[in-house]
Amino acid sequence: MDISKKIILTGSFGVGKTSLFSRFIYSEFDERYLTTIGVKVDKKVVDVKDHKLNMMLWDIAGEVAQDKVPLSYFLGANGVIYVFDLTRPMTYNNILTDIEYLKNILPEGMVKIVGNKKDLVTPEHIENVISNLPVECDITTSAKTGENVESLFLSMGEALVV
Amino acid sequence: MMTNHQDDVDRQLAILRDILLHGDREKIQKLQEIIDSKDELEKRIQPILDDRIESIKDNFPTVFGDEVNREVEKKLLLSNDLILTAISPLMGKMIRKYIGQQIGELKDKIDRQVKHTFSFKRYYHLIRARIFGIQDSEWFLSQLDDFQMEIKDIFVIQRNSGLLLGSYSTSEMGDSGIFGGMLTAIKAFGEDVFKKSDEGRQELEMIDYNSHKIYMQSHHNYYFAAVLKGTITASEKNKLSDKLIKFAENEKRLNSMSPTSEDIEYISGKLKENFA
Repeated sequence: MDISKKIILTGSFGVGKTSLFSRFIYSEFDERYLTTIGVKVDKKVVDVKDHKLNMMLWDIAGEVAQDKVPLSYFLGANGVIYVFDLTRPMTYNNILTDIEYLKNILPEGMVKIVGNKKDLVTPEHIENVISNLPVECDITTSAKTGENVESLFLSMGEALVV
Repeated sequence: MMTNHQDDVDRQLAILRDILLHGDREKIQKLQEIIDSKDELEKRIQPILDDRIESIKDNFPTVFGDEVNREVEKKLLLSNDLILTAISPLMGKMIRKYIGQQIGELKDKIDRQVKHTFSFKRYYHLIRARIFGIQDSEWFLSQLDDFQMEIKDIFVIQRNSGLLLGSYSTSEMGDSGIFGGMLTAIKAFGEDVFKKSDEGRQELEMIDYNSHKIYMQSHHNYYFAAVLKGTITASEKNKLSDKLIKFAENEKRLNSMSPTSEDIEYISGKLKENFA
């Protein structure tokens, strides 16, 4: 049976949301930084638990705080991928407020917290960053090398298909 | 004594020089004559020039192409106004001719239509027009085949998530799921902007392209998006709106919050049944 789910990619600007989106959908990575204007919607069909899951992915323009993102973009979302940059503390300093805000507007939505750009830091640095976060980081990824990108989206898909 | 001897030597040397250089002098003389005579010079130089010209002709694009292109581009950029002045009258004539033809065809169609409809149907329309306030121009246009509204595609999209609930399409417009998502994002963005004004909730109703329009009708949990072609008169729009409302009343599955593939297939089938 085919199932469709809306998944939002959100987080501060420049954390690599569009790169994760492109890596997962097109298997591409672009070194250039092109800021997202508004939102871009695309689709990827994956096989999850004997179902064809249409993942409707909304790549939203980055904002320093989640309450700055137009609320209507979040409405009806089944899952949220919150991305922060492991190399820039300003992208995870407000993580607790952002996650509480998201859980408040989407009480039934699945939220995954992702630390991106792991190719730019050492394992010790990653360990230090995630152990000091006030929330649990679900996965660390590198859109550049592709490490854990597929796993991130597939685990989201599995969590959404009951 | 000494001087006489020197004179003899000079004379002898002059005789010797005359003997030795006689041939060369003749040749120089001949060359001088060729140079001085235009005809003679031309006879000899012309074949060389002809060969050179042929070679330039053959290799012109390779040798001078880039320079010429650069020069032409430069001239064109500097002479925009001049070019426009030169071609505008010509383009104007062509456009006038085309529009004239099209108006002629339209006039013929209207004449034919008027002839057909100065009948019971026409009087029926006049009475309806008086009652419902439909304009004559609207009615005439709606009677012409070229202007008749045509539903090219129709989608039912979940209002918040943008997920597709069903679709019927006659055109090849790409992935309907992505269309639903992006249209919802555009709709949401516009509505968010207007929400900040004091006029309450605003709904995006129409997106207008040159030859196509997207008409949207919002319901509580979903909205319809119909891609239309042709002239959309107020009465055609009302007719479509009524039809969509009736469809919404009949199809309770539209309110499904987690549509399955069976739901989508069912709704798509019903759309085809009602709007094809």
